[in-house]
Amino acid sequence: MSKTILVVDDAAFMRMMIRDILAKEGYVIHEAVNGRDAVEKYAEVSPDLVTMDITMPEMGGIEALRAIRSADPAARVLMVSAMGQQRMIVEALEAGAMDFLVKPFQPTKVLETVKKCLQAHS
Amino acid sequence: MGDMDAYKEIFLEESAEYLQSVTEGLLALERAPHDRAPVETVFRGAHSLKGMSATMGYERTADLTHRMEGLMDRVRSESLPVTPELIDLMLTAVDQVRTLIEEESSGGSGLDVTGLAAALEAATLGSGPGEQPESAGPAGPEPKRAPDGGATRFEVRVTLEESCVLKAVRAYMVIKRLSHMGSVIDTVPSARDLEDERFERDFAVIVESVSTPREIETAVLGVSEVERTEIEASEAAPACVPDTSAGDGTCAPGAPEPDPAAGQPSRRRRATIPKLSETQTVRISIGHLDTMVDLVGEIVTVRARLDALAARIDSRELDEALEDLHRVSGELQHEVMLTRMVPVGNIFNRFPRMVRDLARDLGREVEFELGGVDIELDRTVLDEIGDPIVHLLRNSIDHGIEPAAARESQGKPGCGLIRLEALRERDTVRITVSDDGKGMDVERIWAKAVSLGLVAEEDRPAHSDEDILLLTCAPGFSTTEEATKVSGRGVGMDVVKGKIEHLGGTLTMRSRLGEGTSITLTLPLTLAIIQALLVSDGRQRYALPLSSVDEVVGPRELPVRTVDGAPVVIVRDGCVVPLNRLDALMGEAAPLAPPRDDEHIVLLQSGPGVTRALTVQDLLGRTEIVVKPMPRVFREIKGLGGAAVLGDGGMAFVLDPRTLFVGREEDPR
Repeated sequence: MSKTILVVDDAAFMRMMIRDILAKEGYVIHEAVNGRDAVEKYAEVSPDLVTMDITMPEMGGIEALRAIRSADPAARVLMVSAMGQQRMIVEALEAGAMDFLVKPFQPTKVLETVKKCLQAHS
Repeated sequence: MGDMDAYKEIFLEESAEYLQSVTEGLLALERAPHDRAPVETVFRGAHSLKGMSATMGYERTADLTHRMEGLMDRVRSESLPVTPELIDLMLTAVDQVRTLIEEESSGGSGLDVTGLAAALEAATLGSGPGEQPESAGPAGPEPKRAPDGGATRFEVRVTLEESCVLKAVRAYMVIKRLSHMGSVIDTVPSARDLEDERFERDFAVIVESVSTPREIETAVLGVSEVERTEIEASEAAPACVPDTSAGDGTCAPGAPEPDPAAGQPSRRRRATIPKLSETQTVRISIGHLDTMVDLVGEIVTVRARLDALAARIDSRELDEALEDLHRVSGELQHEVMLTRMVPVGNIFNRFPRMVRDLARDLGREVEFELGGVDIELDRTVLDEIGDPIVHLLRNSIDHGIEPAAARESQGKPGCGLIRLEALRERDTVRITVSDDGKGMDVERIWAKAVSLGLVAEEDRPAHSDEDILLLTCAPGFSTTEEATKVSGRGVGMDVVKGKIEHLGGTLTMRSRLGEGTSITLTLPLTLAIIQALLVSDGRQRYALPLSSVDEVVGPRELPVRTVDGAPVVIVRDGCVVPLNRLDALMGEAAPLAPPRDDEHIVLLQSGPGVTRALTVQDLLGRTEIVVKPMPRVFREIKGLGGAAVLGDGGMAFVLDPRTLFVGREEDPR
């Protein structure tokens, strides 16, 4: 059965890019436009994986990560960050994120990391 | 002495830093008189200043700092208590040292510090002697815990993929995983070097664990971007003896310079998970950094030219080489930009002292909070915003925070709160100065603006409260009838706003009468190179900063309607967004024509929470551009933020979404 992935990013452009990369491989994609939206959508569709942008309005990625993980401790969240957010990535990993991707990224790397996250024991 | 001149610049810079840390130490001590750490900071600062100024031959500075050191030495040995008088005396001394350094470094003389020197002397001799043993120094070497029962010591060598970005975080992930499986004893290179990314692709972790090598291997390979790992059991060394198997970095092939401290017992404690906080620095002249930015800009332009060339020549090899060039130049560009980034704390840290002194002068009680001091901003931008922030803080203390009695009668705490905070959002940094003072009176500002002829009385309904607050930024506007000692320095809000806009930023104000005021400066993170969407209006190419582009859609994807004769689009969440034609904005077409089928609609952020739609004829793709200032003749044209040379050698105007729509449309409401 195809896995579902919730793509969270405030920039439509980034969502579109990640969606295109993942949809080609047969993943079912849902989208959220900020952290709060992500928390709601997560409860709604309970995806197999979340790709989470770090810097977003309303509610940031790390806060959303914490909210999602406290509602579902088995949640798999993959952080998506820009360059120079090293400290925030570490914070996210501390808070239970599984892995991270750094923008700009190559499609192969996105797919590889997503696959890895989906395979790993949560 | 002539040869000392070469050191003057670094002396001046470094002495300013020491004075700053002494000041911070004193302010910390004022809040917590029994805290030992700031005493050490102040003592060390005075000591270093003494040595430096003596080396430079600045004898009077050396003498004064010597006396400061002497006084702090007495405090340090706990033979003198920390009193408010002592703090005041030391702060005065800091000011005088600053002035003395200016004087002595420019060959002047004139400042009389004999009184201060005598006061320092008297304070030092203040109470009787009573030398006590020094407080314990830094913790000595901690004995390493013996291995847990049955645990084996492994040396885990890890090689990261060549394309790995943020190697330090990957290393951190590996170490974290290993620390879940046992005790991490050491790393090669040291934890510090790992966190500062001072290693190529290889590092090693010494771990004691009951897991099997196979389990460890699986765990390490589970971290992304790990290319391979080798695990070797090494004999468990007895506790408290430095581990020879990891000594001096020899176990990690390809590891860079071994950390000279790696062999010292104090560095070999357990729990070596990197704390990604400390960084080591070198000093570079800002001139070099500016040149590097220009050169990187040129590389980016050449790269785009090669891309255009490669598109015409179908060569796999060329494409591959170009791909490498993209990666390397992208990293170079990023690194260069990073070298220009400075934490806002560098200028924020001088404000607590200023706020304290000012509040005292004005008889206000103010608590001052700093937030987001780690947020980084381009050095050029940061240098420019110091004065505007000073002005905003002064305004808050002078016009915002009420006297304690007045506050208490309104049920507020007698001590006012001023907060200075930096926040990162997308490609911008927002700096907010807020207070819980008396707020601004919108109606009074309106009345004043009317009387000054800035606005017409009958236009009141067309102005939101925020618009009216911004009227205080008009030249010549001042609601306090006379300039006070504090705020009357010739810098007005008009200068502040002008400066922020010059930097490509914006200023917004919010205020509630009786509750406080908050002013936010939104500034670009970096200058010069931006990601852009290239579009065309059919005649000329334009670049839109990608950070403000929300979405690109075809004309049939969203419903286009007409409201009051002007086209609008209905966005997905139901919002009605005015639709402008790019060619019309640039004055080359009828403004109201709806989009044709072969055109595209770009949804843009033209301000915080403000969406606008733009009809463009062609989408030419995404590219990186180097923004050059507008040629003088074009500066007056609204909506243009600069110009950029494109890969094919042609030019594009860079559109500024914040000003592009100003005055082009009626207020949507």
